[in-house]
Amino acid sequence: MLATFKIQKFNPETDGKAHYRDYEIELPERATVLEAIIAIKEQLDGTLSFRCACRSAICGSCAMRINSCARLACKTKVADEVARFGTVLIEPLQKLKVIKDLIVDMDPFWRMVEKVRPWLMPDPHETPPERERLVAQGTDRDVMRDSLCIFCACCHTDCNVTEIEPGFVGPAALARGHRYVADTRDGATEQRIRLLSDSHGIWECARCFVCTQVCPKGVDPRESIRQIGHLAFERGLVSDDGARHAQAFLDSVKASGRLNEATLPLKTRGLGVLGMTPLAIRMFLKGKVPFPLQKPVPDVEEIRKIFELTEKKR
Amino acid sequence: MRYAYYTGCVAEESTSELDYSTQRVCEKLGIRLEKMKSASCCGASDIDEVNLDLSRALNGRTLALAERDGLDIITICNVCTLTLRTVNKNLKENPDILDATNQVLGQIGMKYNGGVEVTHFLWVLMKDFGIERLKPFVSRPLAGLKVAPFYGCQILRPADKLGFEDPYNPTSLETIIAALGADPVDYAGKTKCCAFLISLAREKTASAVLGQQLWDGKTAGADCMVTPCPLCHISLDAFQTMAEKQLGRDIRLPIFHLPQLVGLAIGLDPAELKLSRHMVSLDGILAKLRGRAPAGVVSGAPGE
Repeated sequence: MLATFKIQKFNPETDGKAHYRDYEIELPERATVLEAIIAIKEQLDGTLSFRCACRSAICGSCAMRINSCARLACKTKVADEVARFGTVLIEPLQKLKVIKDLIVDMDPFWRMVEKVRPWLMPDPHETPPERERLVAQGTDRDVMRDSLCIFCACCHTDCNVTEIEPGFVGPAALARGHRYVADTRDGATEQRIRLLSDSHGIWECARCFVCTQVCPKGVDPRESIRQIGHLAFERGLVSDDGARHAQAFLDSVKASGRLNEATLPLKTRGLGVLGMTPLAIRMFLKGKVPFPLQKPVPDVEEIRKIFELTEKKR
Repeated sequence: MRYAYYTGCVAEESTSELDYSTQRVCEKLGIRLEKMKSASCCGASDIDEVNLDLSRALNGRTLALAERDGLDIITICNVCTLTLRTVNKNLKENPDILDATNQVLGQIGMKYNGGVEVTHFLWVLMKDFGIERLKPFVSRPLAGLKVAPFYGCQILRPADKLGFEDPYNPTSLETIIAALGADPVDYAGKTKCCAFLISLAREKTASAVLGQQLWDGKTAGADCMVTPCPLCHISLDAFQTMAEKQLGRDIRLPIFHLPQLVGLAIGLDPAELKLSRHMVSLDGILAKLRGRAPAGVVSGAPGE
């Protein structure tokens, strides 16, 4: 199989800015992108720089953007990429400083992971047990899923929010945070939930599902974020506008069976909604602000009954 | 071709032009829509965050309503699509969850047996109706119009719940744009997020995310954008001025709902598509299609 590659190159010692170089190389049908760039380095361009180690999707070091999506080079087949895009475009992970070619400085990512205190914190008031702490069957499922993370930073760097807001702690860190929240041996659950739902935490997630889609290991960061949100609700941690939004949504569906678009901004933002007045007036003039008093959907009693049957007491 | 029509809250109110134009287009194409009058809100990703059992029961009821009528559900909103499909998949694949949900539904005299599929207007056009069947309806081809497709997240990702097409390299909107005689514009933002769901809670971040996608489309040479999602439409159209403010740039990119673009090409009157309800005027586009585009309004260089 003859395949063409366009690879972003940058050497800070000689280049003013990044540029692309094209390569054409004969490869076995089953070649991975990692095998391809190793072959390119050996046969065509000895200066091509990238990280790699395990070649089996365990170490996470060969994460790079392949046809504009963060992936592991060792887990991506050249033939699949050629079938989908005709060629293979390779760039470093985005939003991280490029050290050389496809090698990026991972430090900002590690700082985000550290923020969630990724270690077990036993309850200091509890007497340490004589033997190992056993984890009951069934409670380990979420811990296992979150633990599959290999910190490749694919989800973190492709996340549509971290791309714009570097303060957002990001999906990988939040999934790791949830891993300890879900662990029955941990004694800091309450502090963790507060930490993870602070201003740059779960409520900054735009629910674009990029994290869940790009993860090469089957971690589902969006699901972990949802579960943290649920636990925050159970504890009445609802001061963030994101949480107030969810609560307002729930109240409105309970009342009328439908979302009340007219009252949602006020209930989410409180007086902060005043900043939106000019926009609201222009939307109103176009008929885009619905009347706040809604007619309930037919059979709304059924919906209210469902609420009654499923609502948990806080 | 007949579906249970799940309009969704936003298309009933602030983007009622979407509901209206969907109905006109489906009438013309012979797709029968039976409106689900007593369906509840899907709860978006808010209710399932607060209370998963509630989300399953509410959406289980919606699915059961369609099942009772022997119909599959058609949606016109990405978020409704993902929410209903996620619950449907959970109920179909987990007998325990289905049982627990039916315990609740039983109290209101209902039951869901897992016999409904949830699809989206875009997918119906592409697959059930079919692009070859659409082409003969195109009586006013949108020749020369450069259209940037904006998919929105929750019709592509996560693919295990949606799965209609390659989430990284989708082609359905491009195929439809081309079938209508217009030119699809490729740009980086086409599969990215409009940030609608955090537009209230994180206004600045949301405006910057939104602005990037709009600017990408604009600088790729688009005259306008088209989206299959009313929430994306509110962001792209109604919140566009907030994105302009955040970016410090003029964007002024008109945004079509998918059925409006289809409607124009199959000969519906712009008034039937309620184009005048948009915040960013579509007049320049209509003038261009009539062949009298004022210079610089439609295809002029984007302002700095």
